[in-house]
Amino acid sequence: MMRAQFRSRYLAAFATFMLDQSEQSLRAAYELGRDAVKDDFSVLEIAGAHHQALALALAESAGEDAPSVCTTAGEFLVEALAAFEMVQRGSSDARRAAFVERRNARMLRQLSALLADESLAAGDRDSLEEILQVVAEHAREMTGARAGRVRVAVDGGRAPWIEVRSESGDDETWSEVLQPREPPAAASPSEPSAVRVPLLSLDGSPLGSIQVEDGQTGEFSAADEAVLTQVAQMTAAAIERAIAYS
Amino acid sequence: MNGDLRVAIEADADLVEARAAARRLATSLGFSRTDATLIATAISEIARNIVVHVGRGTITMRALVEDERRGLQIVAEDNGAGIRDVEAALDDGYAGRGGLGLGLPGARRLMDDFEIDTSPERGTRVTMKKWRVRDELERLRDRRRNER
Repeated sequence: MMRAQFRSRYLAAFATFMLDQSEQSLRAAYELGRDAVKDDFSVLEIAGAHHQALALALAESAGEDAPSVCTTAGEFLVEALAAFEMVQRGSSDARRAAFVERRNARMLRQLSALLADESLAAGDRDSLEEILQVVAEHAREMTGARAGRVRVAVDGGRAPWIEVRSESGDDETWSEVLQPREPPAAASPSEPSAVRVPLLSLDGSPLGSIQVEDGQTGEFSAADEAVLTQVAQMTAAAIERAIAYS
Repeated sequence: MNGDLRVAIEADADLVEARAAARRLATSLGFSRTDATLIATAISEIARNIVVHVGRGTITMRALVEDERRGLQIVAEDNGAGIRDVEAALDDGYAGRGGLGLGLPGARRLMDDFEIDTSPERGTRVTMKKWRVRDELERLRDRRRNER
């Protein structure tokens, strides 16, 4: 559809609606807007066409019932813009999703670089704590959680566990290192506001787990779980490397 | 209050009847003009889907009455072959297929609740709802009227 053609269709449909104010005419307005979206017209095109149509209608009415002409014209305009509204909502969703994806890709790269750093491969307890701290912070941030925790059993569960918690409040974030005596309880389905993924060694034996809790936007999504799984794979490899050096 | 309103969708022209019925019901439930337009838009999109992909179906509308809110429920049903991949049908393909956000995903964004039940045997049923919260004043007036 050419722009000139669009404009003449708009003027004709508008004139019909001003006469009959029928659902049929409103639907024509909706279809015009929908076609404009499909043909990639700017919303300004509708504004231009509408202004021209309204000016003609006002000239014809000779100013006698200008308020009612404007009200009726407004109903037509809203219908013509409905398809733009629908698409606009979609593009806001897409922009938000793209923002999260870009941020997570950047953080995964960053985490991967940090975990590959040789200084973390010293194999002592300090470097292991450092690994866990970096992981807990990244896991929390990437999933938009208020709390992230990583627990690792250093020696097949015989040695004390190391757990690092990272939390964020309104303005600040902090983390702490704990030494729980017991392994974490199995992830319970009664905690829908938490996601836990296992840390598995190359031969499949359990090393520990990563858990995020209390999402800022409610429950966690499948995308959050996928990101966490990727983080877990990187982390497990880094832990194994660190332990191998020790 | 209002009984179910059923509109058979067999041709493109039936969209007009469904839109008009939805607009009347929305207005009687106190929805704003803008909301009524969004509801009519969502109906247009799912009815178009029926006409294009299956050929025929029905749209049923119902008023939902709760103390704190009023709702309009729209159920679109067809006996077609079902939607094979619902997730893909609801993904407007900003990433891949060059979709625009019209159709089913578009309708979903205009409504508050949206569900799809589909299978090759039963066809497809799309249930969507739009809600309007009633303020304290409106509820108070209601109670007064009932007391009289």
